[in-house]
Amino acid sequence: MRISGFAARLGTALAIEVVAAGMAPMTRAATVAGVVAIVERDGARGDPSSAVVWIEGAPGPPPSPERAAITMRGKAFEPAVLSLPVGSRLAFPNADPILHNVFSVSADNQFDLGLYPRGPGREVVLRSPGIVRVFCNVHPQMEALVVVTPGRWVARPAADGRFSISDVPDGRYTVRVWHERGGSGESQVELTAGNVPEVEIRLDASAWRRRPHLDKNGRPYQGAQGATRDPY
Amino acid sequence: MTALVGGLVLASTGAVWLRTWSLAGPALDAAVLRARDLVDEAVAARLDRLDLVTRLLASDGPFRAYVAEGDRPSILDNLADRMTLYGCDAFVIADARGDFLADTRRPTEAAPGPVGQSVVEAALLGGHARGVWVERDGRIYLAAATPIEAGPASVLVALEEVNDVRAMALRQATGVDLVFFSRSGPFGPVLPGAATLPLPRARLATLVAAPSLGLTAVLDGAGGTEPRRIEADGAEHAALAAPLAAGDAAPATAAPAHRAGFVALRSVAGEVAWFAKIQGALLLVGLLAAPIAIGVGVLLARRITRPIGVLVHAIERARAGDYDAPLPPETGDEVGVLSSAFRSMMVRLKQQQEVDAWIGTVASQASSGARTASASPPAAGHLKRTQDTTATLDPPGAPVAGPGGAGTVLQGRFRLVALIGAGGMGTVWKARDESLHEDVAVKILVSGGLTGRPDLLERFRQEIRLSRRVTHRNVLRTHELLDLGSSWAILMEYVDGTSLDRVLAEGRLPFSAGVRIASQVADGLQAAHARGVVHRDLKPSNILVDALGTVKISDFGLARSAGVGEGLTIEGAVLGTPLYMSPEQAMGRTADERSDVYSAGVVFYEILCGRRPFDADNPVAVLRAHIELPPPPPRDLNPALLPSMAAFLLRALAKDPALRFASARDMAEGLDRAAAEGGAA
Repeated sequence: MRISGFAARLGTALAIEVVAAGMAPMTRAATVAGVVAIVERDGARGDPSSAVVWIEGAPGPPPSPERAAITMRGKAFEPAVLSLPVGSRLAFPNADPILHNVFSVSADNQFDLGLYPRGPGREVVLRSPGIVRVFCNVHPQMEALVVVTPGRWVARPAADGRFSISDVPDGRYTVRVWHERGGSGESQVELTAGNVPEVEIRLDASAWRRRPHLDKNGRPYQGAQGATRDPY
Repeated sequence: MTALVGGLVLASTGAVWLRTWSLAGPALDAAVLRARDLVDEAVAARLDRLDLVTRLLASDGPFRAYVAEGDRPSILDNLADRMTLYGCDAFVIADARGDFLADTRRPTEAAPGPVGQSVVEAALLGGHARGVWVERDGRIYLAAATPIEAGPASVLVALEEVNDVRAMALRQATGVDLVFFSRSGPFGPVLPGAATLPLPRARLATLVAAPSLGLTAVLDGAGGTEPRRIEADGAEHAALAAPLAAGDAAPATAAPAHRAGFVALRSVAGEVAWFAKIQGALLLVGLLAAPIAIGVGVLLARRITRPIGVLVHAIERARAGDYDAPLPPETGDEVGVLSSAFRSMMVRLKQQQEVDAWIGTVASQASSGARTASASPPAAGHLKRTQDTTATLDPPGAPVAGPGGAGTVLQGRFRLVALIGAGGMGTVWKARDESLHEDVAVKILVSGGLTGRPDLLERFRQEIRLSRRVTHRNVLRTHELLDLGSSWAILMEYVDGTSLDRVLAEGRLPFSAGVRIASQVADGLQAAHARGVVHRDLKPSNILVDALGTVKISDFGLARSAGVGEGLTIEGAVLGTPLYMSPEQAMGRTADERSDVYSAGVVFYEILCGRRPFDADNPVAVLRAHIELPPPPPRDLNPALLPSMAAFLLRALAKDPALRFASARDMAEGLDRAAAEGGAA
C-alpha cells in the first residue's frame, strides 16, 4: 500500500510535468493521465498493457473509422487485444498453412467469416461499440479481444500501467477501463483550466478463472481440454 | 555328528528343491495363462479407447469441416492436435476406395496409395471396426476405424502401436515375458517386447518360430494354444501363443497378413528363481547355524552328562558298598532332581546298611535266645528283665503254671515247641500247628484271671475280636482264643525274632535303625487306633522285631481286658510296667490313644537316648516321676540328636495329653519330619 501510494504520488508528479510540457499551445483542452493497476491472485501485479482506457461523454466530432488487421499465425491471433473506433474495418488475414474459421458472437458485432485458407483473409466492419470477442471455430485456444469505442479519446496503458489521453475538452467525464481478467472499472474526472486530473484505477483480477468459450454453434469445443473435461 | 546335521540340511534342501520344481510347472502354466488374459483385457481396453476417439472425432464439426474441405494440411494439423489430446500414436484417413487421404505418420507424403488393412476394409463395408493393423515393415498397431460422412473421406482410423515400451509395461503387469509377432517376414525384424528379454533377437525369433508353439496356426485364425514347454537358449520355458485382439470381430475375417499374435513366455528357472534365492539363504544359514547348534548342543549335553557321570560314579561306589561318594550339586533341572533323589536314596541306603548291620546283631541274639529257650527256661537276663519290669504284685511261681511243657499238644493240634517268654499274663510258647504245619505262638494265660468271671471272659473275647480286626504289618496278628479247660490260651502269629526290650538291653540303637523301629511302632499304633483299639500297655517287651527288622506290636488291649489289670486297678494299685506308663494312667485315669502316644514316646526316648526318661528303684517313684518330673533333655543323653528330634520326643512326653501329638498319625508325621531333617548329626 505504502509503495503503491508512493508510486501514485510519483506518477502524479510525472503527469504534472507531462501536462505542463504539452499544455502551452492548447486552451480549453486538457490531458487526462493516470495509471491502471491489475491485481492478480496473491496480490501480484498483472500486465496492464492489455487493458483499454477511454473517456466517455466528451463532446466532439466522432472518430474517423480505421482499418486494422488481426493476423492468424501459429494458431493464434496477433494482436490479441485491439481497440478500434466504432465503424472500423477489421481484417483477419490467415498466415497459417491451415484453414481457420473466424467468428464472434458478441452482442451487436456478431459475425462468421467462415473457413478460409492462407491469404489476406476476410474482413468485418465493427458497427457497434462494445467488447468483441473473436474466436476460431476450429482452434479453441485462439482468442482475440477488440474494444470498439464510441469516442476518439482512447488509450492503451504502457507496461507500467501509465496512460495519458490528450486534447480532451473541459468537462465532467467518466474514464472507463476494461481488462480481460480485471473486468471494467471507472473513475469520474472534471477537466477545467489548470486542472490536470490524475486517475488511478485498480482492477481486481484475482477472482478471474478461465472459462472455456463455446463454438459458433454454442457448443463446447470437442478438442478443447477444458471443454471436454469440465464443461462446467 | 556334524556330517549328520550337514547331510540333513543338504537332504532337506534337495527335497524341497525337487518339490519346488514339481510345483513350478502348474504355477508356470497359470502364470502364462493369466498373462494371456491380462493382455487380452488390456488390448480390449485400448481398442475401446481408440474406438471412442474415432467416434468423437468423426462427429466433431470443425474436423468434419476440414475433411469436407479436403484440406490435408488442416486435417493433419487437426489430427496432430488430437493425437496429443487423446494419446493416440497415429491417425489415418482413407477415402471411399480405401486409399490414403491422410496419415499422420507421413504428413508430407501426398498420395501413398491404398491402405490395404483389413480394419479399413471392414469399416468401409460395415461401419465401425477394430482390430490389428500390421505394417509391411512388421510394425503392429491396434486400430479402430469409424466412417466419416464428409467430403471425399470415408474412414478415420486411430492407431496405437504395440511397441517395446508398451510390451514392457505389460510385462511388468503380468510378470511374464511377452513377444508380439505377425506374419510380416520371418516374424519380422521387429518383435515388440523382444527388447525386454535377455535373449538376442535372432535367437528369440528362432524360439518364437518353434513349430511346437503353433504361431502359424494362430496367424491362420485357429486361435491360441495351451501352455507348452519349449527349450529356449538351453533353458526350459513355459510358453503359449495367442492371437492379438482375439475378442474382436475384425481379426476373424482379417487376412492372415493382417493378423498378429503374442507369445507369453516364462522360464522355469525364472519361476523358481526367488525360491532358489530363499533356499540358498536357508542353506547358508543352515550350514552356518549347524556348527553353532552342534557346539551349543555339545555344551548343553556336557552340562547334563557331567553330573550324570558323577552320579554314575556314585552309584558304582554305592554298589561296592560305599555310600559316601560325592554327588553333583542339586540344581533346579531334572538332573538336580535326580541327584537329590539319589542323595536321599543314599541316605536311606546308609540307614538301611546301619539297620541291616544292627538287624544282623539282633537276629543272632534272637536265635541264640531261642536256642536257649528251647533247651531251658528263657535266658536269665530276659526273664529277669521281664520280671523286673512287670507288675510288682505278681505272685511268685505263678507264671509258668498251667498246662504242659515242651511237647504238649494243645487241642490235638498245637504242639508246644519252646518257651519264648513269660510275664504277668502267662507264658508264651512257640508252637507247631500240626494241621497246617506252621509255627504259631501260644500265650497260655494265667489260669486264675478269667476263671469264674464269665463277664471278664466275654470282655476278653471282645477285645480279641477287636484286635483281630487290626491287620497291619506292624501289629502282631491274633488268631484264636483257645479254651484249654482249666485255662485259656491265645493263638498268635509267631515272630522269628526278639523283643525290643532285649535289643535295648544292648544299649542305644543306631540312629537310623532306631528311627526305623520307632516309625514302625508309630505306624502300627496308628493302624490300631484307626480300628478303635488302644494298647494301654505299650512297652519294649510288647514290641517284637523280626530278623528283617520288621516291628510287630503285640498284646493290644489285653492288659485291661485280661482282668488282671482291672482287679489291680480296683485295688488302687497300678498294673504293668510303670516305666512306660502315661501320667494319666499313673494317676489311675482312663487311657486313650494319647496314652499310647506317651508310652511310645518313652520307648522312642529309650531307643534314641539309650535309657528311659524316668527310672527309679521302686515303681512308686517311677510313677511319681511320670506325673511330676520333666524328662531329662534328650540331647543331654545323646548330643548327636538334632533339636527337632529332641522336640519331637519332648512333645510325645508332655504331661498333659492335650499337649502331645493328638494321634499316632500325628506322631508318625512328626517323627518323619524330625527324621527328614536329619534327626541326628
